[in-house]
Amino acid sequence: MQFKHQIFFLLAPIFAIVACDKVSPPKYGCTNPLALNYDADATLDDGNCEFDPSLLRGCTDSTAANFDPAALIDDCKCRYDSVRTVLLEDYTGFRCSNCPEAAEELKRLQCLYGARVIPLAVHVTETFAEPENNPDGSFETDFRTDIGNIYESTFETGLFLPNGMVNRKQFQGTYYQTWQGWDGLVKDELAKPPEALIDLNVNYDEGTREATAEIKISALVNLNASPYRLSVLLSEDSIIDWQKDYRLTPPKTSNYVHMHTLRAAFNGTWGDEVNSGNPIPAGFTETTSKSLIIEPEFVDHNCNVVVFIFRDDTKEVIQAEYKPVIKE
Amino acid sequence: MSLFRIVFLGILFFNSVLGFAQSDESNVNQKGKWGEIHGSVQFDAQYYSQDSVIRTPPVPEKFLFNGFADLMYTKGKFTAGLRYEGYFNVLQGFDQRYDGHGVPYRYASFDADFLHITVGGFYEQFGSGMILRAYEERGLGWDTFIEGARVKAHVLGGVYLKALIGKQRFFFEHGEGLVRGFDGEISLNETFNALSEKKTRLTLGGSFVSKYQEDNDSDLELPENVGAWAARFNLLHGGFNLSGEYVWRGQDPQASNTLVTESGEVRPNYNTGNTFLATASYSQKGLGVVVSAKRTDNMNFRSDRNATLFDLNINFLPALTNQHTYLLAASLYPYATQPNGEWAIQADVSYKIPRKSALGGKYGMNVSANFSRIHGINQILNENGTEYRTNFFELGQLYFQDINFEVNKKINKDHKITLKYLNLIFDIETIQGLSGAEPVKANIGIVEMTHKLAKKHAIRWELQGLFTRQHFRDWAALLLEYTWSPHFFAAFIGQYNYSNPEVSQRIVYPVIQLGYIKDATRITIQYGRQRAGIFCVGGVCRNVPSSNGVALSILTSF
Repeated sequence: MQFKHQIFFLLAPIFAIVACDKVSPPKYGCTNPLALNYDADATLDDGNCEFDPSLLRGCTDSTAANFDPAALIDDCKCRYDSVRTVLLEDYTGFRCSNCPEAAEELKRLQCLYGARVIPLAVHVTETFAEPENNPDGSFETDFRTDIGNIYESTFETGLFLPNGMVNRKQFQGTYYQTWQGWDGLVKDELAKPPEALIDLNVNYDEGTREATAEIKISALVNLNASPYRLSVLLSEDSIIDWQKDYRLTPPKTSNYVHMHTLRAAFNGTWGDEVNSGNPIPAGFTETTSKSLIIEPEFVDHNCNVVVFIFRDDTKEVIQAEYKPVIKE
Repeated sequence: MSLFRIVFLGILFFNSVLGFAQSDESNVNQKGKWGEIHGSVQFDAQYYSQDSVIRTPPVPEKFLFNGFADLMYTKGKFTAGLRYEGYFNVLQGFDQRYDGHGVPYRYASFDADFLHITVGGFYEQFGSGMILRAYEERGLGWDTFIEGARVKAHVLGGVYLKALIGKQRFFFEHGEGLVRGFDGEISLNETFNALSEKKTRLTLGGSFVSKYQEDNDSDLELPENVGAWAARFNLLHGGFNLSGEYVWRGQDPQASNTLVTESGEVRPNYNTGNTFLATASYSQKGLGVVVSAKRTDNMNFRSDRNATLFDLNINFLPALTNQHTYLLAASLYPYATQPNGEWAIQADVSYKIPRKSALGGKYGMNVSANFSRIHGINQILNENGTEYRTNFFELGQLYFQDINFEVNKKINKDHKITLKYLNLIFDIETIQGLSGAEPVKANIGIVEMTHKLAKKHAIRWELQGLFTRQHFRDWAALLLEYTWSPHFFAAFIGQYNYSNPEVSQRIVYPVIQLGYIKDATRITIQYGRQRAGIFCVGGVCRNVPSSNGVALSILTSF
């Protein structure tokens, strides 16, 4: 056999030796030494730490605006000043049995990044969100909204569920991203310096059920890539209703807690122009006020105002903020 | 649609028509010292009408188009080719990430003595494809060619080697992971003179494939190099044939193979994967018997660990089921391979009852029977939820079963008949993801007849019925096809979901089709209401959404 022929036979075993890694899985458990169920062997927290109720809870991140040096347990509610925030939208449906996994990831990221992640859950598609007429009364609620349906058709987020958008930005040519990829994309977005800040205050009249969002926008850099717009939305937390979940037996529950559910828009599907659509110089500020009567079937104590600034051409969100309608 | 796109489409269309009209002459001219150019063009276009009755998804553009133009130049031992693809915008049912246009596939190859070298894009398969198969299935929108370099060698009599490296196509870009592969095969009867005349013929083969992707995860230790190996054989003796392949893949936690603990927590899967496929067959005049078995455990193998659905599959796991072509059987409940775990068996018998026997009559009669059954495998998770064990012979949940019989008979010189019966069990919850849905148990009956009316004129009709108490319940379908060979055909296809549990969905789906065929060109125009369904090729399936409108398809090669 000629030497050049032997090269091929030599390649195979070399290839086999160098091209396979053996790795160890993480050991899941509670990694907080203050927890009652602390596991010293655990390398990755499983989110199931149990604490003595007497321990003080609060924001434990020393870089946060609401850092509480006395707090021992993080309450996942750290807030930050003058930082980049990310709008994370979860496109979902109560008849989508894989969707609870995405909702759990959103919750995890909220806890990980605190108030820098602005959550919104948008129920879409006939397949997964259309109400049914079942004898047991299950899946009767229509969580879909007109604006959510427009978002779905614009961003093609209904092709499969669950998926989501991170700052309504395209990655690898699509707006929609599978939930497994959210963490990395959120992390990348948060690493950027903020281009604008949003100061949001919400006033609420319980008698008329009118919520008014007082919003101040401050540009930190020149924003002239496109006209920019400001959207103000209403979301509702803690809605108890049906949800399919393939991990359950039977694979559905009537007691699912739906969070951040998009309910309405204060100023239309695509909001209002900032600075009348003109280029926005660094240092520019604009104050605006938007009001909405909250529908009687929504629980006002569970409602939030979600605000974000986005480029009109690409729809990419550059900053977002949210606050509960009724102060905690 | 931009002006550029319109102009480009026009040029492409003009070129294709011109190319077809001039094909004979140009082929003659292109041969000789300037080499040869061959190619093909495919246009698929559809005008969509909104149809609220069948709940068609909105198509704001109204008109969508997928176009492909393949060109191949050959001169002596040198070959180069490319494929232009344009999606203006992507047809419904195909991945919208194809939107755009470009030349994703281009290559050059050269034959040098015992070597065949390719640089650029190439399609490839090692063994049965369970370790590596880079292929295109345009009807699915599936294209996983590798762009890089490949060397194929025929080094000794009967020894065939292949080595490749590159990245997989990902729409108009490439996947993140790097794919490396090596495959060797030896035909013992060709290699060793002493065996060359033996009636028993044995071929052995082996493959190694590895992918590389950086580990950017701050929490998990992930393998950056994931390797897989395979061993295979094929033994032939007279009418008997026995073949098998075993594939093992190293640890590869990825988005497509996560594990779920009893408390519903999602964990990365650190198990290795494996699969085997064994087939035994026997054939003699008038009789064919094939028996196959396959077990798959954790064999998603993709060049990007974050990829899901159709994206960046390195391997192909064939479905051990009968691939039906009749409308209701093919598109309502076809089986899709479950790469994370399945146990499958299939048996197929076909027999031709001889002419002039009591049953065979003047022309003989073909009868065939097919049985396939597929189960899941049970995973017993460890306490950490990141690994599991399985019992090799234990069958999990029943995913699919198909028992079918077919009889074909030529009645006389002008009439043929086919009768077919299928009994299906289909776990729609697992296979189509309709969670909570009851498994579908269906019976399907089909009658097909062809009547030759005159020389070159024939009518073919099919009557089909699908009967089930689950999902959309009963369907009836009728096909009428008139052929004026060799150039024209016209068909009417009607489907009626007459007992859908939702009364408003008891709908007729009529479609009219006209076709023209000349030489290597086929033009089809279709108008009507298409129901939503599943389209599968080899166990890989895509959803086809409902639509209403006019569809035009042109396919030509030169």
